[in-house]
Amino acid sequence: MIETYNLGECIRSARPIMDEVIMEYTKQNDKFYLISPDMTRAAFPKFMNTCSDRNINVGIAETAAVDIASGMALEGFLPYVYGMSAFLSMRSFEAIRTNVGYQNHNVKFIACNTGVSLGMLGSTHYAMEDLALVSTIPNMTVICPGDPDQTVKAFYAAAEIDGPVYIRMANGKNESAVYKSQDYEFKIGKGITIREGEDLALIACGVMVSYANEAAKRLAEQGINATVIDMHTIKPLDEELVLKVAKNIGKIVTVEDHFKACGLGTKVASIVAEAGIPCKVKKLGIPDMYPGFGPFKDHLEFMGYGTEGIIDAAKEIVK
Amino acid sequence: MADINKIQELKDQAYQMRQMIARLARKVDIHIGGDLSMTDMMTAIYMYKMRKDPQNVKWPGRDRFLLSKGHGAGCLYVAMAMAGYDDLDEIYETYGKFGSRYGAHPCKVQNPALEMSSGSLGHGLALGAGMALAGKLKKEDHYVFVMLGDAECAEGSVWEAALSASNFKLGNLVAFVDRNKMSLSAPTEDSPNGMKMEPFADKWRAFGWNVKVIDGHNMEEIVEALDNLPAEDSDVPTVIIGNTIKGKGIDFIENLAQWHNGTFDDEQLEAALKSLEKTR
Repeated sequence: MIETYNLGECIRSARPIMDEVIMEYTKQNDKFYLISPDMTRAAFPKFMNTCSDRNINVGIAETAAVDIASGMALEGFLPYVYGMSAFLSMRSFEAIRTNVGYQNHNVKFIACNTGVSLGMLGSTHYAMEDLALVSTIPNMTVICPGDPDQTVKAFYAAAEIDGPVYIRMANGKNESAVYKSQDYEFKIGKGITIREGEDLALIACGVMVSYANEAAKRLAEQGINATVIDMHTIKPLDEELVLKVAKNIGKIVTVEDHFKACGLGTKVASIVAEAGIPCKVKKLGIPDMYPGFGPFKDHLEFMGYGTEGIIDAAKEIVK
Repeated sequence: MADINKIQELKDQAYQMRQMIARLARKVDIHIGGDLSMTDMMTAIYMYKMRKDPQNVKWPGRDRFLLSKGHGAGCLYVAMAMAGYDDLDEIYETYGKFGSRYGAHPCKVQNPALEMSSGSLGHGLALGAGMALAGKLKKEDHYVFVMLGDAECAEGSVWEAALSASNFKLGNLVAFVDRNKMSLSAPTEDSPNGMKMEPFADKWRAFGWNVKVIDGHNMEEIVEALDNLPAEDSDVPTVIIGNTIKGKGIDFIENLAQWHNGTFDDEQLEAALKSLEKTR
């Protein structure tokens, strides 16, 4: 078992963490540039104060951001495009698919404000389908870090890949840390088993890992032992691990801050179904609706994938 | 300035390219209207201006060429064949067939001599801007040429790119617009079904570009525009708007929206070649 924080015990923000990382990485790699549709000032102030010559602000023009990054990658640069996921993944989807994925250009994406993590902005700004969209793209690797500090590991792992990578960063502000130590192995395409239990498996990604882990701790107090998996890579998904828990445990609850009809849960269910393994799968996430305004936790409670919702689903599936 | 013999040679090559395009249309359905409208500019780019090495397609010193109007693949393929990149017979024999390097839209995955895969309109200028920006950052002295269709400029992403190009001072970026005034459906001006583009040159000027309007079928004017490009290290991107005629050179398809694309039968090919001969 990996030592973890309780939900809310340690609050971390990926944006300032990544600000430092990007600033340092800029010094290490002269091919690195940050391309953004006018988003860097607020997100990465230290980088902007020290390395603004490595920032390419294309204005509020997501398609241009992706295409210009694609052209720079063609000339040997390592561009990371940073933007709000709703606009980065949807407005410029075709550019990502055709000018990055199809041509396998070495462009990375860091998407913020994903799911309903930025609860006040409304459904224009909620990226509830980005994982579904970007994981349709051949050549694309899709990472959804399960802990704010894990974004750093994802950033460096992405840089090692010669091809496109999409990193889904949640809101990037004030999110619950999971891992007490960063001394654990992060490998793209390999889910992390945070705790082991024989009654059911909770497979979560991104910000929902902290909630799934919290639910598991509370379930344990009630005598229900859950395996918790941080499935940080959505594509390629760790099929081996999914099949292992499907076979050994036979009960899976998936948790994601994304439309549950087309994200992690659907991919997990598809793997289980294709393998023909008898295994119950319950998917938790955003239902078929446009959520309104409100704090993240209220959204989770309303849509049934917060801690209580996960506990209820776990109890139901182990009946 | 190129001498009169060079101009004549380019005119001859443009004529040969049009013959090749007509013969390709005998075999497969190509976007022949827009192929023929940009043929003269493509001839001058590939056979006169571009620094290139067909034997070493990734030579860093090469000028880059992006066909943003990717449906003009037929013209691009014959230009590249004439320039020594490709084998014309292979294009004729394999175009559109399973496993071919040649299809209706250029694909660099199948054909690595290309800089980008295109076909989705409105992206070439932005990729070109990225490549030109990279060229500036690396202090390289090559141009990035991008060929756009005029109706393609209804895509908003063209203007996102235009804004970035002037903002980032990309004097090494040169856009050509094949201004044949005809989209797939209708003439761009003076038609209730067309998307009006005028005042077209003013739009580019308003975005901070150096604008040159030429007769896109007059080889002297094309060559003069290419001879007088700002230096690669200048600060202002250039657009050369070539006024052209869709289907240029083949009288029975000129300026007809229904010949946006098509194929020739034997009789039409013969008539097309005769029509081209009259243009000499």
